[in-house]
Amino acid sequence: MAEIKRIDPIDGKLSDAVEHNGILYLAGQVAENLSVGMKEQTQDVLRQIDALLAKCGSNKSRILSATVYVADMKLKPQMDEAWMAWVDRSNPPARATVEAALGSPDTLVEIMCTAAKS
Amino acid sequence: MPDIKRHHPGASLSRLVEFGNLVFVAGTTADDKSASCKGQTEQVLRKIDKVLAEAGSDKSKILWCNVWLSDIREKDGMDAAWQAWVDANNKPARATVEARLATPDTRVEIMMIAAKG
Repeated sequence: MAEIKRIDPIDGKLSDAVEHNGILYLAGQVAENLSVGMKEQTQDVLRQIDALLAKCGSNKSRILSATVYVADMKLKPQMDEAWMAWVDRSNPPARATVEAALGSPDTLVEIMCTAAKS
Repeated sequence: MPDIKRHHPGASLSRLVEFGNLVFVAGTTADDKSASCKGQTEQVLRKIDKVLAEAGSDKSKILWCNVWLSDIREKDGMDAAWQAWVDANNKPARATVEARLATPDTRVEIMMIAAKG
Protein backbone atom coordinates (compact mmCIF):
# COMPACT_ATOMS: atom_id res chain seq x y z
CA MET A 1 0.00 0.00 0.00
CA ALA A 2 1.18 3.52 -0.77
CA GLU A 3 2.43 5.38 2.28
CA ILE A 4 0.36 8.20 3.79
CA LYS A 5 2.39 11.19 4.98
CA ARG A 6 0.74 13.80 7.18
CA ILE A 7 2.13 17.34 7.29
CA ASP A 8 1.68 19.75 10.21
CA PRO A 9 -1.01 18.08 12.31
CA ILE A 10 -3.00 20.82 14.07
CA ASP A 11 -4.27 20.85 17.68
CA GLY A 12 -5.53 17.29 17.73
CA LYS A 13 -8.07 17.74 14.94
CA LEU A 14 -6.63 17.65 11.47
CA SER A 15 -3.52 17.86 9.31
CA ASP A 16 -2.60 20.85 7.17
CA ALA A 17 -1.76 18.53 4.28
CA VAL A 18 -1.79 14.81 3.54
CA GLU A 19 0.29 13.10 0.87
CA HIS A 20 -0.68 9.80 -0.76
CA ASN A 21 0.40 8.22 -4.02
CA GLY A 22 1.87 11.44 -5.45
CA ILE A 23 -1.20 13.53 -4.64
CA LEU A 24 -1.38 16.23 -1.96
CA TYR A 25 -4.64 16.94 -0.18
CA LEU A 26 -4.60 20.35 1.52
CA ALA A 27 -6.87 21.32 4.39
CA GLY A 28 -9.06 24.38 4.04
CA GLN A 29 -6.80 27.42 4.50
CA VAL A 30 -8.00 30.70 5.97
CA ALA A 31 -6.18 34.03 6.38
CA GLU A 32 -4.03 34.58 9.45
CA ASN A 33 -5.12 38.21 9.55
CA LEU A 34 -8.91 38.25 9.50
CA SER A 35 -9.24 42.01 10.01
CA VAL A 36 -8.64 42.80 6.34
CA GLY A 37 -10.83 42.72 3.22
CA MET A 38 -11.57 39.89 0.79
CA LYS A 39 -8.70 40.62 -1.59
CA GLU A 40 -6.12 40.77 1.21
CA GLN A 41 -7.50 37.65 2.93
CA THR A 42 -7.33 35.77 -0.38
CA GLN A 43 -3.72 36.91 -0.90
CA ASP A 44 -2.93 35.70 2.63
CA VAL A 45 -4.55 32.30 1.95
CA LEU A 46 -2.71 31.92 -1.37
CA ARG A 47 0.63 32.71 0.33
CA GLN A 48 -0.11 29.96 2.84
CA ILE A 49 -1.00 27.54 0.05
CA ASP A 50 2.28 28.41 -1.73
CA ALA A 51 4.23 27.75 1.47
CA LEU A 52 2.43 24.50 2.18
CA LEU A 53 2.90 23.24 -1.38
CA ALA A 54 6.62 24.16 -1.26
CA LYS A 55 7.00 22.28 2.01
CA CYS A 56 5.41 19.21 0.36
CA GLY A 57 7.51 19.36 -2.82
CA SER A 58 4.93 20.89 -5.12
CA ASN A 59 3.90 24.31 -6.40
CA LYS A 60 0.89 26.18 -7.75
CA SER A 61 1.47 24.95 -11.32
CA ARG A 62 0.67 21.43 -10.03
CA ILE A 63 -2.71 22.21 -8.41
CA LEU A 64 -5.39 19.84 -9.68
CA SER A 65 -8.57 21.14 -8.06
CA ALA A 66 -9.56 24.00 -5.79
CA THR A 67 -12.74 24.62 -3.82
CA VAL A 68 -13.17 28.25 -2.82
CA TYR A 69 -15.69 29.09 -0.10
CA VAL A 70 -16.61 32.77 0.14
CA ALA A 71 -18.66 34.24 2.99
CA ASP A 72 -20.45 36.59 0.61
CA MET A 73 -20.77 35.90 -3.11
CA LYS A 74 -20.88 39.66 -3.74
CA LEU A 75 -17.20 39.75 -2.74
CA LYS A 76 -16.22 37.12 -5.33
CA PRO A 77 -14.72 39.74 -7.72
CA GLN A 78 -12.18 40.72 -5.04
CA MET A 79 -11.28 37.07 -4.44
CA ASP A 80 -10.93 36.62 -8.21
CA GLU A 81 -8.65 39.63 -8.46
CA ALA A 82 -6.22 38.11 -5.98
CA TRP A 83 -6.61 34.66 -7.58
CA MET A 84 -5.97 35.94 -11.13
CA ALA A 85 -2.82 37.77 -10.02
CA TRP A 86 -1.59 34.55 -8.41
CA VAL A 87 -2.69 31.61 -10.52
CA ASP A 88 -0.25 30.06 -13.01
CA ARG A 89 -1.92 31.12 -16.28
CA SER A 90 -0.47 28.12 -18.13
CA ASN A 91 -1.74 25.70 -15.48
CA PRO A 92 -5.07 26.79 -14.03
CA PRO A 93 -6.73 24.14 -11.82
CA ALA A 94 -10.33 22.94 -11.93
CA ARG A 95 -12.04 25.32 -9.50
CA ALA A 96 -15.43 25.77 -7.90
CA THR A 97 -16.57 28.76 -5.82
CA VAL A 98 -19.59 28.63 -3.52
CA GLU A 99 -20.94 30.82 -0.74
CA ALA A 100 -20.85 29.40 2.78
CA ALA A 101 -20.71 30.69 6.34
CA LEU A 102 -17.14 30.07 7.47
CA GLY A 103 -15.44 29.28 10.80
CA SER A 104 -15.82 32.78 12.25
CA PRO A 105 -17.87 35.82 11.20
CA ASP A 106 -14.74 37.72 10.08
CA THR A 107 -13.46 34.85 7.90
CA LEU A 108 -14.26 35.91 4.32
CA VAL A 109 -12.61 33.13 2.31
CA GLU A 110 -11.41 29.54 2.74
CA ILE A 111 -9.65 27.54 0.02
CA MET A 112 -9.16 23.77 -0.13
CA CYS A 113 -7.10 22.15 -2.89
CA THR A 114 -5.49 19.01 -4.23
CA ALA A 115 -2.16 19.02 -6.08
CA ALA A 116 0.22 16.61 -7.73
CA LYS A 117 3.74 16.40 -6.32
CA SER A 118 6.47 17.78 -8.58
CA MET B 1 -6.55 1.17 -15.52
CA PRO B 2 -8.02 -0.20 -12.26
CA ASP B 3 -11.72 -1.05 -12.07
CA ILE B 4 -14.22 1.18 -10.33
CA LYS B 5 -16.15 -0.66 -7.62
CA ARG B 6 -19.32 0.88 -6.24
CA HIS B 7 -20.64 -0.02 -2.80
CA HIS B 8 -24.36 0.25 -1.96
CA PRO B 9 -25.35 1.81 -5.29
CA GLY B 10 -28.72 3.53 -5.09
CA ALA B 11 -30.93 5.38 -7.53
CA SER B 12 -28.85 8.51 -7.34
CA LEU B 13 -25.53 7.67 -5.71
CA SER B 14 -23.23 5.04 -4.22
CA ARG B 15 -22.31 5.17 -0.52
CA LEU B 16 -18.68 4.53 -1.38
CA VAL B 17 -16.67 4.19 -4.59
CA GLU B 18 -13.34 2.34 -4.81
CA PHE B 19 -10.79 3.20 -7.47
CA GLY B 20 -7.26 1.85 -7.29
CA ASN B 21 -6.10 2.37 -3.74
CA LEU B 22 -8.49 5.23 -3.08
CA VAL B 23 -12.02 5.19 -1.68
CA PHE B 24 -14.49 8.05 -2.05
CA VAL B 25 -17.19 8.22 0.62
CA ALA B 26 -20.48 9.91 -0.29
CA GLY B 27 -21.87 12.72 1.85
CA THR B 28 -23.11 10.92 4.96
CA THR B 29 -25.82 12.15 7.33
CA ALA B 30 -27.31 10.80 10.58
CA ASP B 31 -30.28 8.41 10.60
CA ASP B 32 -31.75 9.94 13.77
CA LYS B 33 -32.16 13.60 12.87
CA SER B 34 -33.63 14.47 16.29
CA ALA B 35 -30.12 14.29 17.79
CA SER B 36 -27.92 17.33 18.47
CA CYS B 37 -25.07 18.31 16.18
CA LYS B 38 -22.70 16.26 18.38
CA GLY B 39 -25.07 13.28 18.41
CA GLN B 40 -25.62 13.43 14.65
CA THR B 41 -21.83 13.65 14.11
CA GLU B 42 -21.32 10.53 16.25
CA GLN B 43 -23.88 8.67 14.13
CA VAL B 44 -22.27 9.85 10.90
CA LEU B 45 -18.80 8.76 12.05
CA ARG B 46 -20.13 5.30 13.02
CA LYS B 47 -21.68 4.94 9.55
CA ILE B 48 -18.41 6.03 7.93
CA ASP B 49 -16.42 3.51 10.04
CA LYS B 50 -18.71 0.77 8.74
CA VAL B 51 -18.53 1.67 5.07
CA LEU B 52 -14.73 2.19 5.22
CA ALA B 53 -14.34 -1.27 6.79
CA GLU B 54 -16.40 -2.84 3.98
CA ALA B 55 -13.94 -1.37 1.48
CA GLY B 56 -10.82 -2.48 3.38
CA SER B 57 -10.03 0.95 4.77
CA ASP B 58 -10.33 2.59 8.17
CA LYS B 59 -10.23 6.01 9.82
CA SER B 60 -6.41 5.99 10.09
CA LYS B 61 -6.26 6.16 6.27
CA ILE B 62 -8.50 9.18 5.69
CA LEU B 63 -6.79 11.74 3.46
CA TRP B 64 -9.28 14.52 2.89
CA CYS B 65 -12.52 15.44 4.55
CA ASN B 66 -15.31 17.98 3.99
CA VAL B 67 -17.65 18.79 6.88
CA TRP B 68 -20.84 20.77 6.24
CA LEU B 69 -22.87 22.11 9.16
CA SER B 70 -26.34 23.62 8.94
CA ASP B 71 -25.27 26.13 11.62
CA ILE B 72 -21.56 26.96 11.97
CA ARG B 73 -22.23 28.00 15.58
CA GLU B 74 -22.63 24.29 16.36
CA LYS B 75 -19.06 23.55 15.22
CA ASP B 76 -17.92 22.86 18.81
CA GLY B 77 -20.42 20.00 19.07
CA MET B 78 -19.18 18.47 15.82
CA ASP B 79 -15.55 18.95 16.91
CA ALA B 80 -16.18 17.22 20.26
CA ALA B 81 -17.48 14.11 18.48
CA TRP B 82 -14.71 14.36 15.88
CA GLN B 83 -11.92 14.67 18.46
CA ALA B 84 -13.18 11.64 20.37
CA TRP B 85 -13.20 9.62 17.14
CA VAL B 86 -10.30 10.75 14.94
CA ASP B 87 -7.08 8.67 14.99
CA ALA B 88 -4.78 11.05 16.90
CA ASN B 89 -1.75 9.94 14.88
CA ASN B 90 -3.47 10.11 11.49
CA LYS B 91 -5.53 13.23 11.09
CA PRO B 92 -6.85 14.07 7.64
CA ALA B 93 -6.79 17.47 5.92
CA ARG B 94 -10.23 18.91 6.63
CA ALA B 95 -12.44 21.92 5.96
CA THR B 96 -15.67 22.82 7.76
CA VAL B 97 -18.20 25.31 6.44
CA GLU B 98 -21.88 26.07 6.86
CA ALA B 99 -24.30 25.06 4.13
CA ARG B 100 -28.01 24.47 3.76
CA LEU B 101 -28.39 20.69 3.95
CA ALA B 102 -30.95 18.30 2.47
CA THR B 103 -33.58 18.60 5.22
CA PRO B 104 -34.09 21.28 7.90
CA ASP B 105 -33.20 18.86 10.73
CA THR B 106 -29.96 17.65 9.13
CA ARG B 107 -27.23 19.33 11.18
CA VAL B 108 -24.10 17.76 9.72
CA GLU B 109 -22.96 16.02 6.54
CA ILE B 110 -19.46 14.56 6.02
CA MET B 111 -17.76 13.49 2.78
CA MET B 112 -14.24 12.10 2.47
CA ILE B 113 -11.47 10.47 0.47
CA ALA B 114 -9.40 7.70 2.07
CA ALA B 115 -6.67 5.29 1.05
CA LYS B 116 -7.23 1.54 1.29
CA GLY B 117 -5.15 -1.60 1.64
